Amino acid sequence: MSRPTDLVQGTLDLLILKIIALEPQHGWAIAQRIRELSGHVLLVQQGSLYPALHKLETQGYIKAEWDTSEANRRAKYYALTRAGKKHLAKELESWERLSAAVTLVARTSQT
Amino acid sequence: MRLIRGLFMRIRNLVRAGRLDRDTRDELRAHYDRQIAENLAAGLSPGEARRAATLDIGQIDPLVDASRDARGLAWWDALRGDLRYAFRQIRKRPGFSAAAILTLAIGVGATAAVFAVVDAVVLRPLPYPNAERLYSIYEFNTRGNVGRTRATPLNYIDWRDQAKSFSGMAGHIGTGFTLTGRGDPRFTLGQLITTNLLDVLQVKPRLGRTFLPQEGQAGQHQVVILTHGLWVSYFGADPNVIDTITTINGLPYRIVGVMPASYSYPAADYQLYVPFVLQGTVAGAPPINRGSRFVQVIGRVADGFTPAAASTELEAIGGRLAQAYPETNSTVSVRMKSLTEQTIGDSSASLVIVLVAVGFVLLIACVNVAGLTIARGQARARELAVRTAIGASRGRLVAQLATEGLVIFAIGGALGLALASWSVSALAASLPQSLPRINEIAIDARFLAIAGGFTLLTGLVFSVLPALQVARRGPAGDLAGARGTVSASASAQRARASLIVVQIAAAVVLVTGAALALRSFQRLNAVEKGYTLSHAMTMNFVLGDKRYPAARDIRSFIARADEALMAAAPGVIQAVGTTTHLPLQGNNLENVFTVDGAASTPGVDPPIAGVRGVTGRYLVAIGGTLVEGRDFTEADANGQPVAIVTADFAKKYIEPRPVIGARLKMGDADSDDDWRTVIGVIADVRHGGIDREPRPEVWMPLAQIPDSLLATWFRGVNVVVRTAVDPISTVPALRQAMRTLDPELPLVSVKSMEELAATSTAERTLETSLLAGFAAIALTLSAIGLFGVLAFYVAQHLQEFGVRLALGATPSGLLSLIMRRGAALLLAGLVVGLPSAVLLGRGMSTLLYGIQPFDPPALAAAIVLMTLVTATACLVPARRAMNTNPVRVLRQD
Repeated sequence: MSRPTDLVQGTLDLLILKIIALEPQHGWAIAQRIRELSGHVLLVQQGSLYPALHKLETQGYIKAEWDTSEANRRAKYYALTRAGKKHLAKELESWERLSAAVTLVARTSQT
Repeated sequence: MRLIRGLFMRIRNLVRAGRLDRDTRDELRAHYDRQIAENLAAGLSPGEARRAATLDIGQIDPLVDASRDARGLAWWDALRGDLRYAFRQIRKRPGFSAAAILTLAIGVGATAAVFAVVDAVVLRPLPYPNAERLYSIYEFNTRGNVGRTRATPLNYIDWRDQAKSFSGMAGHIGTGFTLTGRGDPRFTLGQLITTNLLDVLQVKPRLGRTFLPQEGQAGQHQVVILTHGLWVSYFGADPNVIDTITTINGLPYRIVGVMPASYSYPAADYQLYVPFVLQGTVAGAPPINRGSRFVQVIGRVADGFTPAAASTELEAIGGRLAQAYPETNSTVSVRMKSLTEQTIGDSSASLVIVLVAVGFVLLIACVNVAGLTIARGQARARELAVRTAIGASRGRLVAQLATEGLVIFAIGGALGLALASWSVSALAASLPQSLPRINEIAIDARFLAIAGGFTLLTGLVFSVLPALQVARRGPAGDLAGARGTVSASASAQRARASLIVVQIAAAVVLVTGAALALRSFQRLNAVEKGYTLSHAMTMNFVLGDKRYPAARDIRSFIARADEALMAAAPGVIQAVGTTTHLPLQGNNLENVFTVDGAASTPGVDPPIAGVRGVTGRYLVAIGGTLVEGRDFTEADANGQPVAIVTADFAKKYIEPRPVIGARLKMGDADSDDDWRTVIGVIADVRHGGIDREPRPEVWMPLAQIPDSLLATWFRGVNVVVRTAVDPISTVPALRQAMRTLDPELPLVSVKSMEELAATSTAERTLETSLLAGFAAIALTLSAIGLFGVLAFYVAQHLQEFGVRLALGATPSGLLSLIMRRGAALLLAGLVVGLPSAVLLGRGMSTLLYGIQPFDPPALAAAIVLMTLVTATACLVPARRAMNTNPVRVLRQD
């Protein structure tokens, strides 16, 4: 039985920040968004998602608030803080550099 | 900035840990519900929807844990785990842990209590502003063995007026006062002070004012300043006491000031101050001249002058005075000594020794805990190696290993500080009152901060260092040793062995120190004193000049007192006598004598000896020894002038001429004193203290002391009563007899000779018993330490012993193996310890009597004791090694 690959921690943080940068979201929706955005390649386990959210909250990049969702359900919504915005910008830059390098390496090894 | 916020968040998280966990649960539950709803929407049946959601999310508890870790609570959980583990370990070996905690509590408690004393007596500055600029100024007389003396009043005035490097210079003289008019008459010591003394010290009274300059003139001098103690105890802390009149020595004095409680100069015994009159004459006051050396002088070095400059100026002034007044000053120079040094004096050296000794006890206790940490590390070597191999960080392992030691330190340290706070008042009470500043001993915030900080630091050093040592070893060795062999723990074993060497060395130092002190004590008890301590009671009183104005009043009262006391308890009281100066009381009067026929050659010192006026059967009462000739009789009172000399006086100043029949007089050859014929020689008298060398004395009947001398200097009377029973039991009868003679005469001190001796050797007794106690603790602790190391060694080598026995080794061979190991540790400890012990002996020279710091018997005692302790510690482990069952141990693997 094949289990979906766990995302590398740093990558997951980046994805979370990117998703809630558009609008505040709750955990379940974030997981859904990651799956959709990656064309169902990236499956985030709850075991990784919530610790990552709580760590980002402790670091002060995101803030959380209980609110009532569209279907009248209570959910905890995460939003980006100002520090989080700055962090995201910086991380994106280095991510792009890294992924370019990874692609390059992958190509080289294929030939 | 982010770091600080992160830290803040973490701490907030820590505080709210419980609530955060609940919050995470709620969040996950919401996620779960949403997933079920999603699954239902996708067309699954309710049962399937629930099952799929559960599969998707998994167990909630590990998720909550993971979140908590992510929130930075991991270290807290780890610490809690370590603490739990540490407490479990501590509980698992209650005996060992209790011993470690107890020894630490004793070590920390004793160190802290002794430190509190040293702090108050030695380390804290004197309670005066800029106390380091205060100096005691005195005369130094190169004539004979006189040496340091107090100043004469006229010399003091010249110093004060001429010295530019002092902003102020004051004089004072201690004396006794009798207060009457408020219930029982009260005798108290007090000081005659020049009116500027309190200004030189820069202390302000709590009530009223200090003396005015004109109050140093005769006629305006009947004013008094009270200490806080006297104000409370005699005047009931009356706030309206200022400007009221009280009766002192039968004369009216106006109270002008009350000092604050913190103030006691020059010592707590002195309870009141009256002006020292330098202008005009007051009846019964000491003479203002250049020949009587009785003024204690202190000066404050002015700003802008160094103490060295001040000292040089004093020397120059002294030189000018020596030229101007050759008769009195030719051999006199002026010197100074810092008031702090003077106040602390010899006490600092001996107290520091006690502090060093107690420090060794603490060291031994700490080493025990360090050894414990290493032993734990050894026992868990394999587990630690596995954990290192699978990626545990070294810091994590060190933290875990050090926690147990730190917990023991925390418990032991807290207990120790509690013990110190509780015991320090008891210790202060048991300390000899001769120690300076004893009333300042207290546990305060400053002390707790120092002691607490020191304990914490010690704890960190002695827990973390051994933990680092254990954790340093790579995993490979220990995993290789996983079959139960021992090679891997060799370095830890070495570390532990060196700790034991430290313990043994510290114990050797303490045992040697205690042996030196005990041997000094033994020598002192056997020494010839010139008096007998047992069965002798003493009392003092002062015959004031108001009610006993003339010399004949004094003589007749003493004669009646001798008679009345002799009759106070017939059959029980064997002899009664009085003296002007009783041994062991710190009171002395020495004078120059002239021996008839001995040419006074220049450059040869004239005889200087203590002057004693005695009455009744004083020699019998004090238990002295007549060496030659006879004692005084009643007939001598009205007969030819006579004297008794001590053996050292006879030997030094009279022999080889016949001693009995020789003639001597007080003062120079042309003095007014009568020639006195020597009628007896007595054994040398250790007047200043049992541990002080005797000095020559000349005794004479009080009846033959010149009137002027008697009325000025000899108003203090010391009664000695020799009893057939316990001397304390005669006190009521003696008191009653004195009350009948003069109901208004206060008795200053009523003590047996044994009590006086105990007071005079109190410091020595205390230090000796502390050293002995510390040495006993040190021996016990190092025995435990040695036993632990050897027992561990045997446990680790059981297999090897089994093999050896199987191959034909004899049990006695194994015994000698263990013994050799113990002996090696002992030897190393001795090599380090013995030289240190000799060093300690040098440092404690004030405590030594009649022996040298390098004292072979004391060192031998230490070696023998340590050898016995080592042998005892070896026995049980050695027996275990000898009883090894080869078959069983070899099969174990």
